[in-house]
Amino acid sequence: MSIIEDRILVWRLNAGDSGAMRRIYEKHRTCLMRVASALLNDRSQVEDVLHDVIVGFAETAGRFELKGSLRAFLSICVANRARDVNRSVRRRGAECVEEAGLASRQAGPEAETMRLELATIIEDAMAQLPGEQREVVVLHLVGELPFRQIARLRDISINTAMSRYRYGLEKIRTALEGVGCHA
Amino acid sequence: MHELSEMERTVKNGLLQLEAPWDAAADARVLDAALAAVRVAKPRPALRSGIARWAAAAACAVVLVVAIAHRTARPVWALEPVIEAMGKYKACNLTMIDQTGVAYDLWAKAEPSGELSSELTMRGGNGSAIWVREGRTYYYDPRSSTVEVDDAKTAGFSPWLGPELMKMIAKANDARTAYATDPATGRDLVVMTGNLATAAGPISWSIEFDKESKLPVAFKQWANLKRSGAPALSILRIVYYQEAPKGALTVDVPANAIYVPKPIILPEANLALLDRNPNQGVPADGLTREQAAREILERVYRAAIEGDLPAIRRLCPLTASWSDELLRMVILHEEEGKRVAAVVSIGAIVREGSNRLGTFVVAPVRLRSRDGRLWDEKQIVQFRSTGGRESCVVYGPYGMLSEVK
Repeated sequence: MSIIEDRILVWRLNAGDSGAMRRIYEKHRTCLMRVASALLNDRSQVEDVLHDVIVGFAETAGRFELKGSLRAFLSICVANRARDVNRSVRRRGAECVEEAGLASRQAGPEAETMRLELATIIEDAMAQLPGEQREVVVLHLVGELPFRQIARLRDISINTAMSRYRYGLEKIRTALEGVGCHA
Repeated sequence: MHELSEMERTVKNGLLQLEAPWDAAADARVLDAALAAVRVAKPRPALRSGIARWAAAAACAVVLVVAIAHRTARPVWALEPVIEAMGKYKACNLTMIDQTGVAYDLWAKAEPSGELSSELTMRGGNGSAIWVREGRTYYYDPRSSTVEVDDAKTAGFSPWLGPELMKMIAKANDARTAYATDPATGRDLVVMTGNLATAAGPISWSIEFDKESKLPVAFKQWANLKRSGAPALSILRIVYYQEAPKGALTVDVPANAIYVPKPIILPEANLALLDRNPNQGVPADGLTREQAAREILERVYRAAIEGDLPAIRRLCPLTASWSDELLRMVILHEEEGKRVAAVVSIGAIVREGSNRLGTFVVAPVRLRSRDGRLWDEKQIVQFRSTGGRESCVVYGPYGMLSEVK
């Protein structure tokens, strides 16, 4: 039903119906925010990434053709934008990245509970992953995109997508074990 | 998604804990920017043309139904009961959908004479609306809050869904008739198909009649001669009324809507037919547009008065493929007593436009029919340059014929 609803929403959006844009945003915002948060080195950039992706999508009203899942499409757009932002941050200097990561960590709730501690460890482990592995892990676990869809949208084979996911997950496992956490 | 392992669940839960700095203000900023982008984005051309397409479909209900009818010598299915069944209904409500999926609700009233529609209101599921009042047609686009106005009746039914229409159907010899049963209701249907090149472009259609009541109940129209592809317009349901319910034709348009003249766009498929033969039309070299338009309109109405069908075909290239019988029916109105007896006046040009062939103009004409009634009509005259010569042809009417009260 969700996919059917998306198709109707896209059709209405193409007709210039701003109510459809509002619904699309409200429906997919949480998922996109999570994908952006998990992929960005600096989470203060989440709003910018979401802004760029959603506005870019809105600008295609009238000519957007939905092939497959809208959530998958928007998630990939967020991943693309996050990748660009991460690259530009890297260009500005590794120290800045470290500072941004530190700042965002300090700005969050203190790591008093095990859960948040684990999240911090995972975040650190994710930050160490090559971008393409990190992306597949996030899109699959957070965006809930099947490997088949990730492979199609990234123009890679499904085996490549699954390999990247396995390698990524293995590195996170190693990182967790390194700090004494065992999943 | 496959079933997640414990490791995957741990990582997923960890990732979901990552919270971005976010608040309602951030939501508002992103959403406002997106909504602004939608407002300035170019709407899908297919949809934008939806209204125009429907309008064309409605306007050429004339030809459409005429077309169904043209050339039939002996219809397999007797139409007299249909004529009887439909004669008493002076209002109708149609539920229709265009090829982009927009649904429309249409109400129309017949003129007291019962010959054609008078007022009409059509509301689209996308917020659009079309209405006809006092000889003008209004097209409301909610995206731009603009109402485009045609100074003519460019949407409606002529003939009305009544006896004259059915007589025309009875004359169509290229129409196909088939019989079917609606499995849902068990009702027997009669399905008639046909096609025609019209002023709104090439069309083909399929009309379903309820065999028992003899009333048309559904209709599909394609923007080609072969009924191929998705229909441009599907009328899913027609309900007939002796009188339109009070308020049925009411239109609600925001008070701040902007009213602008509606541009006249001649379909490309028809333009291609207008510049093929330099011998069609009349030379316009050395004449002003006013003079040339008057000259060709005088000639075409003279041909109509004299029943000179080859001359009509030469002056109006779109009718070149029409049969004699169709020309007599649509142009000469032979059977209705409305055949042109005299041209009372040809007025000054009221509108001008241009397309790839050159300039076109709209000129009003007042006619007297053989039964003594007066009629107003607007004709489009297209100028073109073929073989190094400037000439003009009659494109066809701008809107419907209207009786002068």
